[in-house]
Amino acid sequence: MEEHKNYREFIDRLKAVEVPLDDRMTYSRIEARINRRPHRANLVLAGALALLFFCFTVYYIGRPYFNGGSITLAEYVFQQNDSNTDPIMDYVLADR
Amino acid sequence: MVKLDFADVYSGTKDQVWRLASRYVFSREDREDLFQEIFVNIHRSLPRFRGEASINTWVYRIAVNTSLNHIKKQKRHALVKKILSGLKLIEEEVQVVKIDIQEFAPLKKLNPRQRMILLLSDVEEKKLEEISAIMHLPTGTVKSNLHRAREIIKKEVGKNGRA
Repeated sequence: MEEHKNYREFIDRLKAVEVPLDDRMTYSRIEARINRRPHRANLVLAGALALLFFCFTVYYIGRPYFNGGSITLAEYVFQQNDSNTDPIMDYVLADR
Repeated sequence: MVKLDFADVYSGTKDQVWRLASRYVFSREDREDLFQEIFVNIHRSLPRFRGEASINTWVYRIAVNTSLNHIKKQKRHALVKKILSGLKLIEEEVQVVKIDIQEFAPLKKLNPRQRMILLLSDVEEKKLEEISAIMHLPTGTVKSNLHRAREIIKKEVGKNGRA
């Protein structure tokens, strides 16, 4: 019985907790927090940029090892675009 | 979908949310932080409000989930602070225990879910079915948690010798 009485008094004290709410200041703080929160689209964009940067870094570091290490990917692309090694251009030049 | 204005939801529910926050955590900073976090989450979830439950139940649901997460977050922060202060990377904070926190110290013996169920049932005087809907828990679970919470508080209050 005593236990129950003590419990009820504890709950009554808890119910009596009244803390005034500084309404105006709190609302402006909430608005500030809402505006500060990054938009989902920004997060997606940031993620895409981070992924792009990661891929570029992997490519840049691994560049010398592409194609068995004999030639870099950039050099390979450059060679393919070079008119001197272009089979069509060679054909055109030979025909002339 | 039901279109609701955030300012209207805020003005209509701020008192009940503030009451819940001020009885769930006791330091001023925590209380204000929790209150703001609840309304930030309400603002974020507002476009998804379908009007299936009443706005009060829906707000309570967000408030309860945010409060439970708040306690988890606090525990994580405390652990990180403890580790960092152990490594002498930060200074240990001096704990300032206020009288009102000591008075409600028995609540700290409850886990976050038990504390919330006790508050909703015995302080906010909500029915078991309402608590079950707010917390997404079966009524039996709410009942057993409430019983356990009451037992713990009774034991703690008796130990502290408060009449």
